[in-house]
Amino acid sequence: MSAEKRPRQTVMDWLDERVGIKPQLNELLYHRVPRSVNPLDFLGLATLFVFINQAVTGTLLAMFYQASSQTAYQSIQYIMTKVPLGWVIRDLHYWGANAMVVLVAGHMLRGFYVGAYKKPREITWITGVVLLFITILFAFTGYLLPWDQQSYWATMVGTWMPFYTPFLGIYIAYLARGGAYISGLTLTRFYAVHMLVLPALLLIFFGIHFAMVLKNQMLVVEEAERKPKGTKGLVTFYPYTVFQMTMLVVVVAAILLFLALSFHAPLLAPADPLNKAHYAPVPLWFFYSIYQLLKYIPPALDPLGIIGLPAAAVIVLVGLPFFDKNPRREPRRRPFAMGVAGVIVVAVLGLTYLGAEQQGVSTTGGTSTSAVIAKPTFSADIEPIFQQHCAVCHGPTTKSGGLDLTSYASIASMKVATPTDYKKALLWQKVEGVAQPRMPLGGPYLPKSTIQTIANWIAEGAPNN
Amino acid sequence: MRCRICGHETGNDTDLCQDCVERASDRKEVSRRRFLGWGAVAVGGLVGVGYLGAALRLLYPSSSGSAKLQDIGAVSNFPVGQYILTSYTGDGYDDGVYVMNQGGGTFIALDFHCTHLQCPVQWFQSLEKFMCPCHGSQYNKLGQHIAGPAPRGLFHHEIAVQNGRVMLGGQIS
Repeated sequence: MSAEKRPRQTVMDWLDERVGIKPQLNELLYHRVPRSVNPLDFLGLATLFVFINQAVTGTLLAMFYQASSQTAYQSIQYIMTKVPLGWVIRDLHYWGANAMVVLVAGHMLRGFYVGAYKKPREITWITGVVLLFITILFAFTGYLLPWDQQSYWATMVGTWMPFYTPFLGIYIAYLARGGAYISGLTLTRFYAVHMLVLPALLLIFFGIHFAMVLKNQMLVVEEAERKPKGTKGLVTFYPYTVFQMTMLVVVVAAILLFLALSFHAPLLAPADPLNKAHYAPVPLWFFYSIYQLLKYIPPALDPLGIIGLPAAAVIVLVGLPFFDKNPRREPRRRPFAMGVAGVIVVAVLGLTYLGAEQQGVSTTGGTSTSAVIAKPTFSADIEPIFQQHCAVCHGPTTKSGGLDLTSYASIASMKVATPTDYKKALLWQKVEGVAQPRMPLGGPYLPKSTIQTIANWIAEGAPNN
Repeated sequence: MRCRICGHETGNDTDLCQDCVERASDRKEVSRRRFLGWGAVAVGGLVGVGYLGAALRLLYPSSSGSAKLQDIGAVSNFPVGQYILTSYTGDGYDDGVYVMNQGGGTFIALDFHCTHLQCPVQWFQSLEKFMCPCHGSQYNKLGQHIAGPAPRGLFHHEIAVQNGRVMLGGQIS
């Protein structure tokens, strides 16, 4: 043993002589941290891990993907069917992309809740906000790449949203598209941005973000260090926290792999600019809230919803450390900030849920997946179907053809649910497709079970119960 | 060190004393150091602006309106009073266009992207309406906006009849 203690130059010493970061490294590895840490304080690390997943799977995909309107779709099919494990890699990339958005948002909410945006961590917060927007741009540009109907039309709508910007609108839209409409030119520029511009920006801002975390420490660590030395429950970062972090990475990786193996990334029909199959565009899920909001506000306010709200979100998020001068960090001492944030979070989650319902995404066994109901009631069974599938056009304000399907009075006066021989009722004929145009207009049409439920209700005399 | 202008002790290792620096700035003289500093920023800025300008010029599409007319078929292929979905090939893209023979040698060509968020509208002959599946905007037979959130009517395309052929052009308004 004593022989080993003799001073001799290790690789570490050799490096330290040239790099000179051993003190800092020791400081980092052996600083004191609480033994039990709230898992939510690890969301940043989880995000970093998922980003690494994106970088690795993305690089692998790029080795097979061919970015042109002629070949993109086929190359994705090739990856999914011919490349060994290609489908797993694509699904990992797809779920990683969704997870990034969720984790970045969760990380931000946690930072808000514990007041980690306050002095001296303003720069950490602001670079974090920038990273959130970079993540969304990553998802948006990546979404187009499979070049199927879903990605083509979602991008058509998404790139038109800047059109509502005052003065610059049309220029931004054309610049994003590389032409008047989505084309192979859009695909190649989205690919370049997705592969080159955004990764570079992300690394720059992540570098600053991480450097600031190291410089100012995490809030939990700062609070731990204020406690007197020898306080129970404090451990060194290495190996205790490092072990916890490794466990977390394993859990996140397992969840990603489970999702990838169980639910496959969609690939619809190839993009058809003429939309001969009458595909109805669907937004990306994190745009559901805006999409849904547009249905509730008068058309004159659309520019506010499309441009104003996101712009306000940017200003509020970036400016938060400067608007909120309250020095207290405890959530209970910041009732105003917590209240406003609570309302916003509930509104966004609620609108996203409603938007998902509207898209027929099965959430909690909604009407789109439920079985036939033998004796449906209007309020519990029928009205939700109308709200979900018909109210966009046949709602209280739109009243297409004079019919408001959200009001029993309107249904009765328009006589669409009579006679009790349901095959003669216009409502049934429309949703079944016996009468043209079939409803909901342009599809997707109602599942057979839902149509039968409506038929049963009409056969019962279309009661208002 | 002594000041190289007034010869007094500067008190540090620079060769300009604080008095002379201030005097120079009072006389609005551009000192060598200030010139170099601002010069570096200006030159760097110019290079940056040059790259940015070139990038924008490269990426911004050339104007797509009133491009050359494209033959979309004989007049006889278009029955009077019926909308037919055809396409106009722009710079790299295919643009859906509803074309109708209005009789008497006049045609109408409407871009099939809803003016709200550019979802593809569908023509319903029985209703004599264009309807959008996204937010329920509706347009009449002439493409004029009649319901829903769209801010205006459908865009028109240039269209003409030449030697019995229907010639479709770019989007005009």
